[in-house]
Amino acid sequence: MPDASGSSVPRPGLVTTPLTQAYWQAASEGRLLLQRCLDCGQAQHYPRSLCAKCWSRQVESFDGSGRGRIVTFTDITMPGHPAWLEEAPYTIAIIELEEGPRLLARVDPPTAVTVGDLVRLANPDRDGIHRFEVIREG
Amino acid sequence: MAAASIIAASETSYTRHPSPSETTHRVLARAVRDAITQSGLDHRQIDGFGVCSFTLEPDHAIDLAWRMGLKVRWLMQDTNGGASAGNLLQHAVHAIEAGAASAIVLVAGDRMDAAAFEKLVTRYNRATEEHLSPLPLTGPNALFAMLTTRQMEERGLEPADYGRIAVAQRSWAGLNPGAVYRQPLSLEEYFAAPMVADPLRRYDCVPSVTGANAVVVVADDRATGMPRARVLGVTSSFNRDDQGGNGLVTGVAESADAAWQSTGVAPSDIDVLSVYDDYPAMVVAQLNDLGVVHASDTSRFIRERVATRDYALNTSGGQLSAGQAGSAGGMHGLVEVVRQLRREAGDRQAAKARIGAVTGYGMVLYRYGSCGNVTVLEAAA
Ligand SMILES: [Zn+2]
Repeated sequence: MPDASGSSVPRPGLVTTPLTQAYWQAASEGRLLLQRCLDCGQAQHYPRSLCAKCWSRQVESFDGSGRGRIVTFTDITMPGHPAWLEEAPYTIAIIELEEGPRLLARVDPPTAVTVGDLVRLANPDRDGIHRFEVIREG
Repeated sequence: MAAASIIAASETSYTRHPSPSETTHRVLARAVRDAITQSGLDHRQIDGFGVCSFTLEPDHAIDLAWRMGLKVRWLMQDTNGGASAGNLLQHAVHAIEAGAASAIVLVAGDRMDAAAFEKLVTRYNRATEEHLSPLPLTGPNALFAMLTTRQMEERGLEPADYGRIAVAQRSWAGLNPGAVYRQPLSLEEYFAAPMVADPLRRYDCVPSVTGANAVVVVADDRATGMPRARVLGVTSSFNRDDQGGNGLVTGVAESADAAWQSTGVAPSDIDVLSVYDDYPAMVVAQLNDLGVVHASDTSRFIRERVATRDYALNTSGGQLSAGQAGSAGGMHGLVEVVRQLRREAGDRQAAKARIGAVTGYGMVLYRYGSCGNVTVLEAAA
């Protein structure tokens, strides 16, 4: 059955758990939620019930700056799922956030990214997922 | 002193497109039956059973044992994909040492059609389902594309080095009647193939197949006089770095250190080697992790020893050419090394096949595989 996008293959939908509900809600509002450990100061992504470093349960969520740097990336021409074929080619990168954690995310413009590029959080995509864009000098 | 030996190793035919009547149960049962027949044992003598399968649900090991009429006193199910064979074997050896069982059959495999594959790649685990699939980042290709780029930068490799691994494995596959892709592949054809996720091209990615592999493990003193692969050691590593590193060093590194220490075998003693080859970059990573070749010497080693097939590496053609039968990926390499040590490898038989090693690698949690293991085997008769 065609989904909202008109594609004949349904797109894998967003799945949330009680632990990640607030995270994805923030994403759809263009915010990137990170966690900070109140005991050791470690920042972590993505949401967990404890600090993965010191095992403290005192972790609080905060809005990340949304700024980071491209560590590495790939331009995808043949997606692993047929629902994303219409999106190709697009770019997925590992981004090192200012706060420290690394996350995987889509970066625009497609196929025009280089390692070391500075990026910032852009408006979410139509599914409410984080999307980053390259900050061009000047 | 080795307590356990592998006395039989089977592989069903691998098929790209399974017939509608094929099921996961049937393909697993076929591999089990072939292995037990080959061992010379009767199924009533089997008292231990272990399985790994992505597509067995809603069934579990006990359902499979019941359907096959296996009455056992040791039962195990493993969930670690490409690391499952090593993990099952490690526990099976311990069970035999402890007297919990004396003859164990281990099997791994899947019926992998397009629907099963899509489900697997979008719902592999919570992190995939929640944090990768919607990006959209479905399936491991893009993750290992980025890993390959990092590896090229760090170890001074070029795209042709990866191509040479794929081409060499295809040459080995030409000697393996069980491989799904056997026609020769040239480096030109490798480069001409469509890009999947830069820098990975089609022949850097494993073809998904339906099939299963199985082995029979017995107490070594029960196997005297039989051509067999004595298990000198199985060592494992799980979640070595919380997915916080760059993925270029795998759990095989710690497993190998422990393996060489506990078995007294050195990497240079290996005659035949199966390395978990979900991508050529992971072949490179594990050759380095094992200590078979130093990272700085990798390119020369690929050109002079791998491409020439002077080194007996992934002699079945590996998963890249023989096919990846879901969770049988790790057991495929084990079966091949056992065949080599039992001198049953036909046209691809290595002249010298006394010491064999097998690696397992897998379970991408967020960015790269989190499980690694090393099995060291010795030919005996
Ligand atoms: Zn902490």
